[in-house]
Amino acid sequence: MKVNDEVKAGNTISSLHTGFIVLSTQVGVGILGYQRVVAKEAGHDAWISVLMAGIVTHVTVWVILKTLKRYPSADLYGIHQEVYGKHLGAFLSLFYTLYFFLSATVILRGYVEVVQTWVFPNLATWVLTAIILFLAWYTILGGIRVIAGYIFFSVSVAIWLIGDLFFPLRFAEWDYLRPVLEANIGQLLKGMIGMSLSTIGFEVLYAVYPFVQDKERLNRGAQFGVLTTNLIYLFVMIVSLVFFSQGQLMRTIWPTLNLKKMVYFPILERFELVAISIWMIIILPNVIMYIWSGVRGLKRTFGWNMRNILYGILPIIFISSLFLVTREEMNTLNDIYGQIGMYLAYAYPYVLYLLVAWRQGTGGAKEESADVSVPK
Amino acid sequence: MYRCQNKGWLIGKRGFTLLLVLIFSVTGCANRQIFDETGLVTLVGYDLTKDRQIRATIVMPSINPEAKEKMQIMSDVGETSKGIRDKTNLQSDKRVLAGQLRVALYGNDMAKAGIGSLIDTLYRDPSLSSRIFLCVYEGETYELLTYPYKSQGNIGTYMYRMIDQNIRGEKIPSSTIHEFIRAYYDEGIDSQMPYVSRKGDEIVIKGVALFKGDKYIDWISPNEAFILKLIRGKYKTGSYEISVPAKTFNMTPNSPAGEKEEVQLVFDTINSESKVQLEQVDPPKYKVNIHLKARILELTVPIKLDNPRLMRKMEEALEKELERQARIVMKKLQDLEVDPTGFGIVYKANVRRKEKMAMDEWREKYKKARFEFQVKATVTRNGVMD
Repeated sequence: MKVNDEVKAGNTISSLHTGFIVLSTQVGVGILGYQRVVAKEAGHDAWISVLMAGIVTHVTVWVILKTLKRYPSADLYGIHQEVYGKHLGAFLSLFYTLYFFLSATVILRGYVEVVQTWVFPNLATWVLTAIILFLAWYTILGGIRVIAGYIFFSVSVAIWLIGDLFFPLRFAEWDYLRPVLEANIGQLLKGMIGMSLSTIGFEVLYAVYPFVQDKERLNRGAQFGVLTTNLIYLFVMIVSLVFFSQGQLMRTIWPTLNLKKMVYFPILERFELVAISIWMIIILPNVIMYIWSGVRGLKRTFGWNMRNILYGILPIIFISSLFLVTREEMNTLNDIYGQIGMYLAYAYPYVLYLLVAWRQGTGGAKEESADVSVPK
Repeated sequence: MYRCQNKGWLIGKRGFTLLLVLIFSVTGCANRQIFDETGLVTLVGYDLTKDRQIRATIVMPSINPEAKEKMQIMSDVGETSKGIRDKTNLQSDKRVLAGQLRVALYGNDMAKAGIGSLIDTLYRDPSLSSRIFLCVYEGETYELLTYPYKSQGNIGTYMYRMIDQNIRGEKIPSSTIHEFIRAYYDEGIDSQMPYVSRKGDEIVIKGVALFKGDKYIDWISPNEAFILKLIRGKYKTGSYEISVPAKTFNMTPNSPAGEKEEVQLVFDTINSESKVQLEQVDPPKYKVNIHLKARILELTVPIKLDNPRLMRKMEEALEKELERQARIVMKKLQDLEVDPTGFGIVYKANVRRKEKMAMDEWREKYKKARFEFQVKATVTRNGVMD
């Protein structure tokens, strides 16, 4: 396997599209219920934790791009190969790939659980899982350009859902936000860690990078995506904190949906049902991007055919999501996944950057990983 | 877009189409709820029976053209509210569904015994709205709902509209299920909801019921509720009637009943803002600044209002009266040990603490709290006449 992946000029996406990819992979099922997780630690100062998590995300994305820019057109799997050598590199790539597939499973099952709780209590898990996986499979076969196009569509269709939060603001109790900074730094940090489940998603940059056309402008695009995500999370968190009392928030599993319950129009009384249906458009990019990134990993590492990998991996995701039934199992899985995600998406990029810098600094770099700033 | 001709698609065009058709047809498998076959509950009333069980009475509109009655009322006794719903289902030709529930009524005894779990089940159910209005009735709700009214039509929607328009008109505080749950799980505020009674053929909102935790304690009049909202809240279109000693205007008004000592003034389109400050932590001392603008709508004496001095006197009278009323209401609330205004929230917002304040701790502090009110009133307009 080559460290750098040459992508045909006709199969690339722009840096702005990459920003949309980052945004839509970050915002998924986590935004429906992150308030409780963060507020459990940081109390009514949870919004500060969100802000801190946002800043850390910005820095992490910057480091990820810094790592990637040391190569002309490599992805995570190529870098693994170069830094760790063939066998260890393949092992780590496989691990990361498994994490991508786990993400897709958790998000998919999380959404199906929401639908089962709120809309169709009798719905069998396999029905909706099958439909979403079918759509994901169809989109992934179209290639990265189709995926990017779909994601652009998904963001434009769903972004207005944020506007309906002005309805619950009529019930706002602004005194709930005071006194500012009552939580100590330890609680804020714990709250920040609680955010990680919701903010991860930007690590797909590791897989998308070779496909980006204007790589020198990627930082702007990606940071724009992260910024939008952060603003959305911050806004939703502040609205939740003034809308719910703390005790109530602790008992609410999906606070964002409870916020949407307050929205009503004369011809449409139960807006949350509409929102949950539209949410499928938001979930799909997550599932697509994670599966795509994982499949890319297997293809790059082992040289397998992408279609064949899909035929192998989709049934596995499908079946494993059927085994998750109760709320408790979902909670445990979410916790474990949040932990893994924190290490792989937030901690690992720094380690990898140092390793890459060390490797290239000591002359271990191969020729093909020459300086990047030269456009292709 | 449709690239199935490509080689390498394992299942090919036909297989793909088959899958697509399958997926579209699968969407038809969801539970259908046909309108003609469902009974939409609009109102539910809960009472406590003598052997401490719950009697629930549900009201749903009847859409049978042959039926004489426009609504159907069913009632049953049980231990849990959802258990009763299943029982009432046995009395109905339609599936009883609660998605359109708009008002939940609690009888006097039920409310006194505590309604936390009853409200929790309503809030827990995702098929219910969180804008359901909660309400306390002074007697048995069964008696209220089964009374043969002449002009109210469907009592479920009637009560919903009655509460809704009064909340919109800022006559009573909003009492949605969300607000109850929010106050119930908060350590600095108590819940309140409308208090309803029946006078012959009419249903009346008599005042506002005060809760301590999930237990109904007492009720206050709409005028007292007005003061409460004035203390901590905003008015956009309120209205209020006060009595002022006639001496204020140096005159003795004549009325059909003879000489009167007092003059009544009615203000409306009241626009108010309040600022609550915690001046002292232990014991808590609050300073409440209220600014309000109002229009004078009715006077029981024929005064010419073109005199600015007179207007100022009127404003002063209004200020004094409101301050006096506020002190009386707060005294009453402190004696009842309930805090519907949410002074506890203000306290929490101003005092940094390591651990959370428990409700009992706040009640202790609340008893000792002192309040200072300062009202600044401006009469902006006096109708189309001086």
